[in-house]
Amino acid sequence: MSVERRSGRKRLVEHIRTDPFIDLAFVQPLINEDDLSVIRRQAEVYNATGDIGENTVAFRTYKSKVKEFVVEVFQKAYPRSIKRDLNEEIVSEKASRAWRALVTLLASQQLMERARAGLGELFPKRYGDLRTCLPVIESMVKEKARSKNRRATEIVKRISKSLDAGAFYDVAPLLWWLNLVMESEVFEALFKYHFIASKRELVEGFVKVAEETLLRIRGHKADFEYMKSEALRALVSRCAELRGQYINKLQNAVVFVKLLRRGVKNPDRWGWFLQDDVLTYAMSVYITELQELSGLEGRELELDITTLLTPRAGAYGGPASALCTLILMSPIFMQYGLEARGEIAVTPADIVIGVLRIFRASKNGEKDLIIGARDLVKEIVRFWEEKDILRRLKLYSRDEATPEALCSKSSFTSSLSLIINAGIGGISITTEKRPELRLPPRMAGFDSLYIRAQQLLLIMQKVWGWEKL
Amino acid sequence: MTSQSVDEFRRFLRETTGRLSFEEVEKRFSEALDENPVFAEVERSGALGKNVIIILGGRGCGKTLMLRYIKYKLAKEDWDFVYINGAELAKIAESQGEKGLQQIVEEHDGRLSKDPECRIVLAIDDVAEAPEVAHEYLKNEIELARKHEGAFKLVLATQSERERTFQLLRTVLPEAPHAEMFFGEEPAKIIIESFKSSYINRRPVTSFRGAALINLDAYWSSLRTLDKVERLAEVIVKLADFYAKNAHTCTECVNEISKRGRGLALLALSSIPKLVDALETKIILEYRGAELALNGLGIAELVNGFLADPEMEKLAEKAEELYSELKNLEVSIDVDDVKEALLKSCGVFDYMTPLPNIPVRSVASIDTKRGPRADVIEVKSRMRDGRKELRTIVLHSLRTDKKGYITSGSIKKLKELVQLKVPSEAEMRYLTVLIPAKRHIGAFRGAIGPAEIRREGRDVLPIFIDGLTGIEKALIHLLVKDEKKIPQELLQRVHAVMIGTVVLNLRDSANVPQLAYLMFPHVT
Repeated sequence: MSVERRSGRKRLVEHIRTDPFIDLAFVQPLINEDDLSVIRRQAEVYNATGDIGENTVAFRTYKSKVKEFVVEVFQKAYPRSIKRDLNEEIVSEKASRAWRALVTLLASQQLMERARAGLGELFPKRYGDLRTCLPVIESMVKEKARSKNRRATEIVKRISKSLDAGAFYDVAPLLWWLNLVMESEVFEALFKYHFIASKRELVEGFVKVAEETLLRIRGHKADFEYMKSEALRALVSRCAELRGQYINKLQNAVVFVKLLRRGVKNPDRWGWFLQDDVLTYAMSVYITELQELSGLEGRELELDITTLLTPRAGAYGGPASALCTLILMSPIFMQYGLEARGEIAVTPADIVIGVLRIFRASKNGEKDLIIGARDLVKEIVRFWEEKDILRRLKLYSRDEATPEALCSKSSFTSSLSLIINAGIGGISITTEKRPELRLPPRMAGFDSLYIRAQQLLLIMQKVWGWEKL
Repeated sequence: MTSQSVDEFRRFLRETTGRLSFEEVEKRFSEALDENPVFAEVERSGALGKNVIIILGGRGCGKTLMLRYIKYKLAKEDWDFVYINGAELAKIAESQGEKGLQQIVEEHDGRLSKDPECRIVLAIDDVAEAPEVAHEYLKNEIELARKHEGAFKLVLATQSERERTFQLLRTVLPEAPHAEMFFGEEPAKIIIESFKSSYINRRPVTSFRGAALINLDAYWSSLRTLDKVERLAEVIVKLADFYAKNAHTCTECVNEISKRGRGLALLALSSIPKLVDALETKIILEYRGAELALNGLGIAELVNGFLADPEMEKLAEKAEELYSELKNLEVSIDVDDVKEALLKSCGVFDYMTPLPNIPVRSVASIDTKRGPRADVIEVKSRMRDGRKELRTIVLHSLRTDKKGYITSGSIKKLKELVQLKVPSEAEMRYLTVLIPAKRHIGAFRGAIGPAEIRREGRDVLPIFIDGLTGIEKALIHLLVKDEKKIPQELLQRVHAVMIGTVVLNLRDSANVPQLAYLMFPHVT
């Protein structure tokens, strides 16, 4: 983790700064009854007003004591450097991220409870009860902190093996989320990689030209696959500001997201992650696509998750914060569906993207419009195809990914219900012909969505904090 | 007044205040049902004409008695009354499963389909005791109310404080087929909102399209104000008369009670309403704690105590005298008087601690060495699960100058408190701002500024004192300036009236008694 990108420094991943076990140690002290009750109430406030509560006494007290705790725990693992490397700036940033991660996590759980949809489907049922995850967090921290040079990958593998399927899927989404938020700069690098790698014609064009040029040399045998995989590794090294031989350092920084996968045979290999991963790839695509659809002209893309979780104030502050959480959680919903049930889930981010794509294509100005639910799902499938999400989903699921099949899936209505219950006033349901779909919790019939374009765009702009510009 | 007849009357009251089955209630209460003031209010509202009737209230508010009245009232129009309670539903579900419950629905459906003249009222008492497996059954009964509109009426009675009651209101009723035909659009939201607001808006009956929600506690909240002492006295006398007629004894007792009606009413107002946490919201209800509640049970106990204890009789007499004095006292008070009265009165209760003029940093851990000082009240309310909830009320008052404008000093301090992040909803620390009148809301909002305006009503609470009635102002005046005039034996009760009744009239710009939500204890 680098708090401030210094121009001279090239290495993004380093010990201590980017050790996800240290991140867990930052989270661990917050999982107690007193702090959790404050965080739970703060999550309600966050959904209502956008205030994340970094000025609460609970947070300040936590921040003032957490360094002592982390240093004490990791003294054996980093005997010389821990005190020096965990400077005030890093402690402050890590503490703030741990707090934000838990507030937003509980905010999403509250939205699911309110909508009476999604728990046990998009996320584990016991998801909101963080105390059930505490023993896993404690044992991970304890294992890593036991002595110097404990291998992160081995610890994660061993502990994940010791958990039965239920316990594993209960804790995995939480650890993915903590990893994503706490190491957001490292993931920003991976999102950058996905952003460039998703432009297939660019990469494949280069691979083709390079191999064809090499063919002019006597004895060279063309191997497009090899060239492609090496080119991708080079791209990830560039994006992570890391020389190729240090790629395992990168793996250590994203160890929970990369290794806590039961659907992948050898998760510590890089090939599948660079070409076929869903979680980080979908996150990158969602973030970039939504910014482009929200009216990007002339703006740089923002890929840092913690920046996106910055508190929002004023009108639409609450709905924008709630929507932001849902968008960032969407790839986790998708991955959880694949891992736990082998199912393809339509996520809230897919729905918002589908709506905005149709809206942009309609060239309707900012007038309201009605979108048929089936047309929306068709657009989502088209988007998945275009952005290479569909191919990746099919690698992990035998589900049919046709609009008809997805339309009848409860994940579509659950995700829509989450959006509507989050108070996103720009999207509501209506019936044009026949109420063939049912929206939880009341199972109200609908077949179309009514889009108040102006309101939705204002909320979207608030999600990216553009109203300040 | 013979002691034998008093004893008989008291025995009747004592037995009535215990838990009675519907059959016992029916046997005991057969007279003068039309004269009961609570029933009269419900009857006037037209609630009994609806197809689905929900009766809510805290323990002892008279739900089963209300069912008795419905049976009596509808029997006149040839309705066949079928009574069942939640415990029986649980037994059926346990022994026969969902099939057994479905049979009940089918039986009603069959009777109604066969005979066009047949009219059934199905009353389910203590419906929150029914297990989750019965939820589908309840939905089917609601469906039946739609299918046989005008021939089938569903009456559901449940205790407000039960957790399952909220599940019933939030999910079971709204998710029943055609719920919107009974409750209107967005039934989940509207039912919970109506329930929550019924107490604070003092509206016992909320009518929807085809349903009615009767909150019996809200009937009593409509009398929980000092300017309705005389009306409450009348209700107490009418209730005593109702009990006496059903006890077939002692109309002289009623005369005695009517002589001290206003005193008894003032004593009844010294009870404290309670809070229940429910699904991201809080509900106020009348519930018996260490002191009597202001409801049917509480009035019966009060009357019983009055007849049994000569000390109580004297207390009622003194309360009556105090009421007369308050009524004739014309005073004006300011925000600081209200603040002082609140600090004084909360000190009487074990669960509240007044901390006058303390540095704010001691409750809000502000990173400043000096910082402002403020009056603070700490409320430690024990929850149902045994946990204690700590609410911190930081009191600030917006004073006015001679011309009636808010002083710049008090605005500056308000700004400072907000900027220092003293209020924090997540940590249950609330900045309560006492404001002389609603017209000063502009000064309040200007002080907290546009960036923090979203805090209004959440953790920065504007409370207007111009909603207080003349008698309430007089009570505050006596507490602050002339406490000696209050008889010593009544003092504790008067402080309780301040917290339990006057605080309910201290409201914010949306007419919500925010201080009441902070100062009332939880149902334990």
